[in-house]
Amino acid sequence: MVRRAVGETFAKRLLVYHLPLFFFVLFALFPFYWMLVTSLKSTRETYNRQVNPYIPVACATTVVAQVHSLHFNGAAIMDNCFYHWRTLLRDTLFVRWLENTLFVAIVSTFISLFAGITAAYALARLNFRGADTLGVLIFITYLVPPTLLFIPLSDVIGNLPVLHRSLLNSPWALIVTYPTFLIPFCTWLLTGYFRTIPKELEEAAMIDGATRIQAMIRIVLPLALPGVLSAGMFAFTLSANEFLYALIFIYDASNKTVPVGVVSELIKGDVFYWGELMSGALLGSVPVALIYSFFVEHYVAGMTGAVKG
Amino acid sequence: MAKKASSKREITRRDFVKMTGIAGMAAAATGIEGILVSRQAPVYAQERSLHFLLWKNFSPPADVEILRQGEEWGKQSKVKVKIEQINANDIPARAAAAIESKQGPDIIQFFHNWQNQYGNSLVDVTDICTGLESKYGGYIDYCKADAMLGGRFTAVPHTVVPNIYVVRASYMKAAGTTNWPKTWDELRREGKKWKAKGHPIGQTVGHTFGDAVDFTYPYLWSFGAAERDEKGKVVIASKETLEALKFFKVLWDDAMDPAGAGWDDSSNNRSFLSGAITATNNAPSIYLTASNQVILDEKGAPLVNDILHVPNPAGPAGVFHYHYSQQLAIPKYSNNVEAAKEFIGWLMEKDQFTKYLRRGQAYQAAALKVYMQDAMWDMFPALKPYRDHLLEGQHVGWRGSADANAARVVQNYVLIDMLANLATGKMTPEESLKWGEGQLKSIYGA
Amino acid sequence: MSKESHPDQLTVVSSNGRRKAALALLERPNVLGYLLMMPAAFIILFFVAYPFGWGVWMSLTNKQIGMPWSQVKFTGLKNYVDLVTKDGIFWTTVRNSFVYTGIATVIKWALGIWLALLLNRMVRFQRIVRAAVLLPWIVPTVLSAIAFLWIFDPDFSVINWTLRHFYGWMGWGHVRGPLWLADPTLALASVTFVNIWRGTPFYAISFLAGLQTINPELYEAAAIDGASGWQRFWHVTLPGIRPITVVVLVFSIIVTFSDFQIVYVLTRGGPANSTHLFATYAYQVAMVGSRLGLGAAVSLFMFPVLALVIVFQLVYLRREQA
Repeated sequence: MVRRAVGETFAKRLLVYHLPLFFFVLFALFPFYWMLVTSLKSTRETYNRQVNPYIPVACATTVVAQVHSLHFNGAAIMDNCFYHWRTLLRDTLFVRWLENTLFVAIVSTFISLFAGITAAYALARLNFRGADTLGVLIFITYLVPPTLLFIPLSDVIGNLPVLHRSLLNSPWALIVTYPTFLIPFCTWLLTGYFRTIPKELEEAAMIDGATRIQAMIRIVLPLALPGVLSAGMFAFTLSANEFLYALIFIYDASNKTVPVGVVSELIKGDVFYWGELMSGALLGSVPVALIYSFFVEHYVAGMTGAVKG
Repeated sequence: MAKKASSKREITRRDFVKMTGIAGMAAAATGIEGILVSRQAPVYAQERSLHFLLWKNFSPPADVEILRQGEEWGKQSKVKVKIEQINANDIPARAAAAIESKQGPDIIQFFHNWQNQYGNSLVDVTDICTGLESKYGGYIDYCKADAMLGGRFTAVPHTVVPNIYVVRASYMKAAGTTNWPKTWDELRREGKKWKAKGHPIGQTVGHTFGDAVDFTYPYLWSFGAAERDEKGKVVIASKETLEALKFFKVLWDDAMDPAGAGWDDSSNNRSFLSGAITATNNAPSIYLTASNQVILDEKGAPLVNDILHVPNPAGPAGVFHYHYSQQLAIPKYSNNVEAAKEFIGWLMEKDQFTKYLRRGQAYQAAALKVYMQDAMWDMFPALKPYRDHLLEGQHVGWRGSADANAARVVQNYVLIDMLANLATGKMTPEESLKWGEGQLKSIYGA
Repeated sequence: MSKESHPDQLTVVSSNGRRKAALALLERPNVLGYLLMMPAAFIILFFVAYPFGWGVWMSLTNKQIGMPWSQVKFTGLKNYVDLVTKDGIFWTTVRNSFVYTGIATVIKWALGIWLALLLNRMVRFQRIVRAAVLLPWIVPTVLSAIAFLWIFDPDFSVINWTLRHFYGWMGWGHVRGPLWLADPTLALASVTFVNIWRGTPFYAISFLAGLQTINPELYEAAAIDGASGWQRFWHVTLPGIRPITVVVLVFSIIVTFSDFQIVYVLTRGGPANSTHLFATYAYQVAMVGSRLGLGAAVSLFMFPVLALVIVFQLVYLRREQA
């Protein structure tokens, strides 16, 4: 897949390829660098407009001095570099928020994948009456913005019809609402992916005596795995990112997700605690980023399959 | 007398526990598994809970204190108290969703007169308020006005966050200003010198709940402008308003930091503490941060020693301030109205309330006038000017009443945007006035 | 199934038969199709369709938060008419939303293709670089927006610090640097920038996937025909990624047009309403200002615009299939 034109000089490669890519990476990563630097500075240093803002001076000085003298002093590094990290991890519920975010994102991703797979299979393979209309209807769900939905939704969540139970303040409030904006995309992506899988494979299996559902589970699904993975990552990202529903439906500090926890607990009155906020922003991004660095190739592969169809 | 009252209160509390126990049993007995559950009635009573939503206080020690008090009261009243603290800007949305879906906190803290937007959905707390008034003397007028709707209390006046000018004395002196300006015009003249020295006046006219309102409202009032008259008619389109707007444009361009148009409530604190501005209208938070975190000025001396607290300058109609009130409301959907009332009453008792204010380092003042004499002000003498000008405020929507629509005017930043339109150069004073009148009329429905 | 059989046996046989019949039923597309659509339909019906209907109804009334239903009056299209004719912020919001979406979409599209082409050549450190450029998109928006709030701070902006020092270094005298969030145009540009920063990786990764579906032989054929790099890009690459482009554009336009978090964190619609988008203005009117009916109307004004986008996509898909 990788193409390299023959006879490209190094200078040209540098100009049209390495440099732009370098700037893209810089563009993408600078805010993260900024989070890191700010999280390593003391509040006083953050508010000092005289020193160079690019380097956490106190922290760097400590580290350099220790490297120089070959004398490791963990406590000094803790105080000069990771003070805000420690506050965040020790004095706030940040770790709980991370757990909650992961739990909510994973479960709602699975629900959306399940609903997305079944719906996509039906739309891609079963030529049933009204399939087109239903497909469009699912897609139109996109159009309804959360800002419009969350008031009536809080009504539904607060008093589930039929069940007469309140989901407010429970992670389940988010788990059942997130699929509303995840399912349309999952369905679309997987419909595309299923279409790329030759019909003949299933038909052969069905001639051998498998039912349609068996054929779907045993033949189509394994082949569609990259697409499923791709949709899953997409869904996971969107649920970890969600803010408005999480703000409205969850009120116990210990049940909050990272975005809401950081914004509503670390922004206090008319003072911002930048150190803690930035450590929160950085550490809150890490788990998602890690997952991505492992799966990014599959993500691309999954999307590729979906758009082929 | 105070002793008598408190002993009476204790009995009520015991009665209350007993009552909830009985209520619990009664409720359980009617259920299908009534017998089974009623055996566990004491546990059931203990599991009664009270959910209290309030802001994440600027003064963190005040948060520690309110959490402690919640625990203390919970223990003695056998109620599980859950205190939820969030960023003040997010309170309206949480409250709105709670009121509309009839689920959520049993007590909600509101700022300005936000709660009057939902007046019908809030428990009438007149009994608590009049009780407190007769016990401790009256409320500050505007706190009372903000907490009332149609002759009844929709919320219990709790605290008030005072706002006056915070000034860097040395910057003022360096520019040749000896005394804090008495009038807006003088402020413009002197401020121009400060700005020339690189330290302008800092003022937000952005979309933010505190500082923008705290400046805009008294500024307009001091020119004799008001959104409505006593009868509730929209009278913003007046000579006085136009004068105020025209002057604001000059004041802004001459003396103020243009960055203010994009500031939130925290920006002027940072700007001041880092030595960028000479003066800003603010609550005591600048002083408290400078003092608690021992922030140093350019010469390495503690910054607190260079901070002055001074009143707003006067306009043609006199000196006005706006200190935003904070009150506690109980939504009607609550299943624990009695417990909520009980808890609020207990919080407002002198023992608790004094501790709360003092732990908060005088960041908040009390809605009850009596606390103006509290020893707290001697503990923070530098903040005394906040107390001295505490009574000079007015309520939201002043000259009219602090009703639901007055709250909406605040919440939609109408008056603030009238100034912001000028600050950003989007409109002329005449256009902005016309724009504001249109917005006000659409909100007031006139 | 003879009449002499034992009753018990009869049940077994018949239940077996029923099972078989049910299984046979499952083979029928019309039955299985609906059955498989059930989970998705159930969630959407419950948590989108019903609240949406509620929202539409509200927009036709004078509903306010906390107003008992007995007082709610049907006012027809009054809210919509009021917004269009009387409201002093609505048209600003409309303009902002179109500018924001338009500019952000075009730039994200262009940068996305460029980045995808670069990433497509990647051999060394491929995985790390791809994950790195994807970061902005996967990080929760509020968190990155808070970082930008600090980057755009008038006094502490690192951009302005750099500018200031660069000016000093060049001997150009003193400069304060732009007030990113205080000037109406700059503020809108700043929030748009954050949206571009966040959205570009999604475009790039999707286009990268699209690029990999293009048959390399097409490039070879074009090269043999003597096509230049630009010509190959116009005639092979762009048409090759057209299917994914449509999908990505539709998704992105919808999400950008109804964006909330970036503006909510950075400006809340200020200064002087110059960054209000539909979602933030609807939030201000309905949630903060408690006029639910009016706020719902603001929100619903998005609907026809977005519906148009969807119609465009459907028409396109149908044409492709035909």
